[in-house]
This record gives sequence, C-alpha cells and structure tokens, in this order.
Amino acid sequence: MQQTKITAENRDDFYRTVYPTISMAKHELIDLDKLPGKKVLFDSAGWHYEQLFTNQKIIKLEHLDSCSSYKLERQQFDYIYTDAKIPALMLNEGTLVYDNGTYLKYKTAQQIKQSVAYLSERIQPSVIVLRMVTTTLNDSRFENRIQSFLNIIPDNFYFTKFVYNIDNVYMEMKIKKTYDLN
Amino acid sequence: MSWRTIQLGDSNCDQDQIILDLYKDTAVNYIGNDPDFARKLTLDTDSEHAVAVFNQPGLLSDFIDFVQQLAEYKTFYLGINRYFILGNDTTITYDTASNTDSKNLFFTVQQVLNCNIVQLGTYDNDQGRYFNFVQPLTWMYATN
Repeated sequence: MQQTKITAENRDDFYRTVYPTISMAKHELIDLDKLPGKKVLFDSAGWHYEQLFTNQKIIKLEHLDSCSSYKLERQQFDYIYTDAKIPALMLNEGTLVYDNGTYLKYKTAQQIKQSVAYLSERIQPSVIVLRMVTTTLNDSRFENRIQSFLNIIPDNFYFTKFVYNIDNVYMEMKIKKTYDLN
Repeated sequence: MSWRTIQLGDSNCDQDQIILDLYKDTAVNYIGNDPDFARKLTLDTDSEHAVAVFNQPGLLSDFIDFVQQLAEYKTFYLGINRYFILGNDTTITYDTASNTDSKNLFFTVQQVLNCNIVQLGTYDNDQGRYFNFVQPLTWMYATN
C-alpha cells in the first residue's frame, strides 16, 4: 500500500512519527539512571538515549528494516534483529528497555506476551521496562485492555510498576528469585 | 507536517479513493479531523450527505455520540479506526468471542441509526510494521 512507502522526501518525518522518542527531551524519556546495570534499548532509537544519557552503558538493537529504511549510520546501532531472530546477549544483571517501538505494535496481548518472553529469553535481563500506546493493541475493542496488558508478563517475572492510562501504558517488571530448598 | 503528508504526499490512499468515488459529484459535510483530505471534497455544511471519520481516541459512548449525529443525513460514509475505540464504557454487551470488532461495530451503527448499509468493508489484516492511520480501515456507506 502506498501509505507505507518511505522516500527520500519523507524519511526524516516518517522516522519521527513512527519512533516518537527521537523528538523527546531527556525528561520525557524513561529515566535510565534509575534502572540497574547495562541497558539494552530494543527497537527504541537507542542512539537518542545514548546522546542524552552519556553516563550509561547502552546497547542498541534495531530492526533490519529500520536500519535500511531510515538509513541509520553504523554508530546508531550495535546489533540488528529481524522478525525471525533476535541476537542472544545474555545480559544477566541489566535492563531491557522498549520505548514506543514498532515490535509490539498491532499484536494481540497473547502475541505481546510471547514476544516479551522471547525477548527475555534472548537478552536475559533482570528488569524489563516497556512503554507503549494501548491504541495499537490488536485485541477486541470491547474488552478491558488493562486486563490484556496485565497478562503480558513473562512467567518468571513480576510487576514492580504498572502505570495505565487509557491510551498508554508503562510497565516495569523484575525477574523472580529462584530458590532450591530441596 | 501531517501524517497524511508524510505518508501520501499529494496522492490518495485506497480509502480516500472510495470516498471520492462515492461523492465525486456531490457536496458533503465532512465530520472528521483530517483537513488535508477534507479539501479534496466539495464541502457544504448544509448538505444532506456526510463523510464522517472516527479517527481520534474515544470510548464506545463517544463513538455512539459520533454516530448519532449522522441521523440527519440522507446518505453517509462512516470510517472507523477501530484501534481508537478504547473500550466499552456502556452497558451494551457484545459477543466478542465469535464476532469480530468490525461486525459488532456495523451492528451497533445499524441499531443506533436504523440505517440501510449499502456498502461496507474492512481491511483489518496486518498492514506491516507501519500501519495506515491516514484513513480508517473499517468503513460503511449507508442511507437513512
């Protein structure tokens, strides 16, 4: 369809519309200084975070299509992922941040749950932070979306923060501690 | 720059063309939030025909209020961005298990207006990573 075509003329505006975080000031972004360990910025224009949080160690993952469509320069991403595969980073004591990307857009709550579970398996964070608009949740319009979002948490995580507005949601979740008492 | 201009420039998307074909020789009242597209129509606020586009966030009651204003028109095109219906704040119950959103929405409009749906369509399949928010993907053309 024509409306998804990115051209030389609209590239910059297209990028700013699809990834609204790149137009945000530091105080509008997720506060990385309050989150533990290295930060993996997944599909979230991590280069913009890197420019504003200069004291943070940031690992930037961008989709192959984003790199090519928006002609990202090599220093604007560290790893490329595709719909088929996300690189394994094994972060351990670090934070996975997803801020208004496209990866979770237009998916059902069940698909978002599967995607977040896959992300946590590949990246192995101890904390996951997600910020996204609820208007792109591809579930029934006549069901309560807060319940849909409550169900996306991976099995081995628990919520530490859940801020729900009717058209956007912010979530922080931590990995559960494992005890072997036998 | 508007999202329409970013995505389409001066060209028309599929939904634009459907509306322009429906009302190519007819003045209409445009009810929506896309002034760039409205300029492509022949506008007359006293017209008996309306092009109405629900393309801003709202709850089901907002949508029903929006639909009710179409009762005064002989014919109307109604476009619905179903993603922008944020939830059901009414006592109306829906069979969400076996009916699609689109089917439920069409039924609701028919109940509210008691109108005759002449044409309808929906393009709710995956549109890729960049969704079309220029025009809604669920639409109907109806007479009162």
